[in-house]
Parts: sequence; structure tokens; C-alpha cells
Amino acid sequence: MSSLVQRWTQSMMDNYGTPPLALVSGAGAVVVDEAGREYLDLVGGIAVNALGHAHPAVVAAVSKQVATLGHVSNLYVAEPPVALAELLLALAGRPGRVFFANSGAEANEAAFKLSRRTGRTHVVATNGAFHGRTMGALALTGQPAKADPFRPLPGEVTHVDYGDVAALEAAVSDATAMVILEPIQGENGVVVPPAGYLAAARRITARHGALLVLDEVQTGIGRTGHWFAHQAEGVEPDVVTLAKGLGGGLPLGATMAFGRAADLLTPGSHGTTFGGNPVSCAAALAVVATIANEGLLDHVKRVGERLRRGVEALGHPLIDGVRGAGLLLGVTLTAPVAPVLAEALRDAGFLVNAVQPGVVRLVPPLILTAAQVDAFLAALPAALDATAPATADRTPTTTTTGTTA
Amino acid sequence: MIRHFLRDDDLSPAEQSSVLDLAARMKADRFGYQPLAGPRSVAVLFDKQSLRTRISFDAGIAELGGHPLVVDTQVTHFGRGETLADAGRVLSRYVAAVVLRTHGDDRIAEVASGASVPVINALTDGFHPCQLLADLLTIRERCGGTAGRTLTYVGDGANNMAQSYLLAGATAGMHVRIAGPDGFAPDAAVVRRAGEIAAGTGGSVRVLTDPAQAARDADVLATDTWTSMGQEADGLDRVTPFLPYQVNKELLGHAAPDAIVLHCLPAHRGEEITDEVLDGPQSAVFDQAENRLHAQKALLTFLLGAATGGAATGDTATGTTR
Repeated sequence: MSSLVQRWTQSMMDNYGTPPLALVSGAGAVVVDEAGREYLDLVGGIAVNALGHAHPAVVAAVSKQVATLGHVSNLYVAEPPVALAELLLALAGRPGRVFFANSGAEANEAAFKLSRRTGRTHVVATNGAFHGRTMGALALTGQPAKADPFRPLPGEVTHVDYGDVAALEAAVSDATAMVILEPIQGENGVVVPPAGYLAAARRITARHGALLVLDEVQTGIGRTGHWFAHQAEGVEPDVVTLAKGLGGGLPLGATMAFGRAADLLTPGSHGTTFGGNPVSCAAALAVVATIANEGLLDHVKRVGERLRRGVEALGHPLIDGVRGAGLLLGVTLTAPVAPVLAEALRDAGFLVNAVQPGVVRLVPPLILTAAQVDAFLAALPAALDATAPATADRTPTTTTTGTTA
Repeated sequence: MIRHFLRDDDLSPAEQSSVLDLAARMKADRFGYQPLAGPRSVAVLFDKQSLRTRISFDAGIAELGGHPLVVDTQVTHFGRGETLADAGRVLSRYVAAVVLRTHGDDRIAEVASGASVPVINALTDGFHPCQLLADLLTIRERCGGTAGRTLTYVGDGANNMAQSYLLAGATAGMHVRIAGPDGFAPDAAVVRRAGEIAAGTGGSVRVLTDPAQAARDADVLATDTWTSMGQEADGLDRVTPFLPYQVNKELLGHAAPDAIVLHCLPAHRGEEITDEVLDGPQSAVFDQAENRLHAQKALLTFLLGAATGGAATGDTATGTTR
């Protein structure tokens, strides 16, 4: 164990388990560990580092802002959060208002609280959903293993199966304050709903006067090749939550509300000390400008497709398929060996995230190049072969050894 | 390379700026630039009615030393019996550029797809980019520049002027505010595109419903008719929802003290704008109308220069005789 990891185990709470690597620097989609070894970063800080590491636009924007006006709280107005709110609303193409927080969980907390201002208290969320780990967001999260140790949680949340329109129809009533959905369930293994699901949710919520809240914490800001994933479906939600890629590595969450939902939070009803910090907002302005000016939305679609097709074309028996959109991809496996595969890939110099036992998640920086995709595709078969012997229910395709399951 | 001007965002921020620079020089030296001397002809085609566009292009092309062919398409075979792309191909054999006012943006795009000379949008259902060049020239003259200034448009947020304000204003680095009633918001894709442009120019974009909020501290307050050409019988109530968006003394009071007022004309006095404002000291409306001439001359010169590989500003490489 490296000395840095050892210090970590002695001083940090153990809620993450012991991390396998200590990283010391990064440039673009490549990170370097304390031994000087390089890795292609297909985790991207869990879909956070939209422009990769040390992007000059982010470095310049952050440096300039922190040297100008670092933090003012929300007792005063600073320009970067206002400009960012305007920009986000412009990208949404609709009138509305924005609340800035520090993270995705807090963005969802704000949406949760905002929904209570409708005078209703019933909420519908989905099984497998991940909306965060604060107590309110955890109540929305549909993963019992994460939620059960912390019950009781804020109540009146009904969880229905994701992608099941009939279940949604049955659960939503005139007493429902909001329905919260992810356009793609990232943390649940990059689960894509059937076509028309979001549109059906929009129709159902509109009929009952409930808010439709879309959690785009992971899917927003170009991750799927659109500014917001719901734009590909032509759906107009009442609330959209953002975080992750928005700050390009700096902590920033946002809750965007449209129509009547935009006026539900009134003075004194919600707040945050750090939310909308000018430095984080300056970073976000640089992220959005770079995505727009460098045509990264189209790039994400192209590179994402190259990655998807390349993995599928391997035809490896351990690969079941690839799902997702843009650069939010889940490689589904025919055996629950994702952690082993992640370790084999790490040994080969590639960082991926074993998001579920049978799913490896790829959420690299949006600037990932075709050459980097090809390098990953070239290394993947050997890593799969190294993983294969660990599966009890299939015959290894090669005699490669070295599995450490 | 052939360059068309079908939407405001067909010019990059630098190109838009250089066209406006040239327009200012052409205004100061009205007959000193003759890139169309020969004379070369320009076809100016109208599927819809026009006064300012017709006269300003006709006069402007003549002032550039060229020959304008101004045609009402109803008396031609334009778009009848052949594709619009074929019409674009044929016209390109005769003229140096094609100026077209038409209905759908798909129509002008089809003409351009066949054309081997520049095609210029002289108003479509979606955009009015030549008018915006004149507006930006006026803002430069009256406000000392465009970057960082706030440009507010109130009224029918779904019409071509609102959409052009979004794209052209963002390109010019302005803070663009559009305020219209529910159901009259600009196309979300246009707002999104404007937002992307603004992210690179330091401008910003907001779509609002509250006219007073939109007008607050604005440097420019602009409006347009509540019923654009072709919408006269669309069945929508185009008066009641718009009444709060009238540009009158009270709304102007929310803007910056030295704000200017723009209207692309024709104005429906007493509807979207009051006499008091239109004829008042803050109105720049008639400068704005004049600037159509200068801005369009500069645009033509720029596009012809691009087509022949000449200098973007058109001064030297396009046959100017001073």
C-alpha cells in the first residue's frame, strides 16, 4: 500500500472503503498516480470532469475569478452566478429561474423542498434511482441498500419500476407533488428507459397537476451529446437538476425551474452558503463556452458511437452489450465480474467504474479523442480474457491467467 | 468559397463586426465603394410584400455600381414548375447574388442549395438578419458599441425579429432579453443556439414573460408588430395577450435613462408602440431604417469578397474604385 493511501486509511472515515490508487496530477483525459504511472481516465471523477483535467479554459477562468472575487454568499449579487443562470436558461430555451447548490444531492433536495411548496406532499420516484445521499435525496433514491440503514427518511415517497408507464400512471394522483426521474439511470448501471417514457411521464404529471422533475445531475451538460438529455425527447419538465459536469471539476449543483415551479421558492424558504460560489460558476461558464465553441456535443455523439460500436464489435463472450447515450455508456457483462474487469483494466492503464456487479460504466471527459477510444478498445480484449477465468458459469476463451478475484 | 447569409449566425462574431465596420465606412463615404461596378446584377426577389427592403436593396445595389433586378415572384415561374434549387442554379448563371424574401426558411435554404452565388435572406418566417445588421449599426452609433450592452425585445417573442435579435445580439456580445406572453416564446433551439454563441462572446440570453423585468436597465428597447406578415388570419388573439408589452413611456421608464428605442417598421402606432415613444427623443427608429441601406451594402460587399476569395472587408479585393 502506498504511503498516501496508508495515511488515508488512518485519517479518513471508512465510508468509501480503501481506494486502490493515489492520483497526483492529470492532463486532459489522462491521470498520473504517485508512482508516475499514467491512466486513461474513463471515470472522469464520476462524470464530473467534462473537459478533463487542467483544461486551460477552466484553469484561466478559475484563476481569474479567485483573484478577483472569491466568495460573497448569497447576501450579495456577483456576476458569474447570474451569467450562468442566464446561460443555463438559454440552453434550456425557456423562461425560468435557477437555484445554485454545491452538489447533485443538494440540487435534488431543493427540488424536493420546492415540490412541498405546491401544498402537496406525495412524491413518486423510481426503483434503482440514485438522487443522492443526504436524507431528503436518499428518500428519493430507490436503492434499499443505500437507504435502509438510515430509515426513517422523509416520507410519502412511492417507488415504482423505472420505465413502466402503467406503474407511473397508477402511482400518480391529484395528491402528487412531483415525479422525479433520471432520463438515464446512471448509478443503477446506465439503464435506458423505453422510448416515450419521459413524454408519458410528462402527460401523466400534467394531467394530475404534479411537477415533473428530471434529475440530469449525470446526464446534463453535454454528457449524452445534448445539453440536457431530455431535449432529445422533446419533453419540457418543470424542474431540472444539474451538477457533475456543470462545474468541470469544481463543486456546483443547480436546480432549474420553469413556469409556475420557478416561483415556488420565496425569500427565506431555502438557501445555502456556498451555492453559486463565483469561482465554481466561472468554471461552469468556461465549461459551457468550451462545449459550445468546440462543437463538443457533436463530438460526444461521434466518439461515444465509436466507443459503443468498438466494444460491441469485439464479440467477446463476456460482453452482453452496451447501453446508454453519448459518453454515458454501460458495458453489460454476461457474469457479475465488473469489479474484476475494472481491476484488470486498471492494471492495463485504464480507469473504469464497476457501477453494478455486471455493469462497467464509462463516463470519460467529453474531450476524449478517437485515438484514446481506439487505445481502450485495443486493450479491452486482454482485460476481458484476464477476467474471464473468474466467472464460474462459463468456459474461459483463452488460457490467460493472472486473475485476482 | 460561396457564403450565404440565411441566418444571423451565418456570420461569426469577427465577421459580423467587420461587416458593421465596413457599413460605417460606407455610410461616411456613401458613393466611394463600387464592388458591383460593371455593372454586375443582383436579383432581389419577393414572395412577400416589402417597402424598406425593396428600396434599400435597389438603391444600395445601384450605389455599389451594380444593377438591381427587383422582382415580385408572383409574376414569375419562381418555385412553380421547377424546384427552388433549380431556380437557384439558373439565377446563379445571370447574377452576382440573390436576395430573397420568402415564407419558410426551408424555401431559402433550398434556393441556396442550388446556388453558386451568395444568397441573402431578406426576411423569412424565422429570421430577419439584414434588419439586425442595421439595428446593430444603429446601436453602435447611439450606444458606442454593442458588447456588454443590454438589448431587450418585447412583444411577439416567437416572430422572426425576436429570433434574429437572439442570434445577432448574442453574436455581438450583447445581453439579449426577450419578453413575450405565454405561447409566444422563441423556438427553444434558437434560444439554445444563441446561448451557445453568447457563451463565447461574453453576452447572455434570457427569455422572460415580464416586460418590466426584461426592460429594466436596458440600453436598447426594441419591439415589432404583434401580427407579422402571413399571421393575419392565424386564429390567435394577437392583441389581448400583448397589451402589457406595449412600448410606452411607462415601460421605457424601466430602461436605462439614455436607452434607445428600435422598431423595424412598419409601426402600428397605438398598438405595439405609442406615438409618444416612436416620435420621442429616445427613438432611433428612422436612423435604424436608413441603416438598412448601409448595412446591406456592406453585407453584399463582404459576401462577394468571400465568394471571390477577396478581403472580408471588401475594400481592396473586390474591385473597389474610389
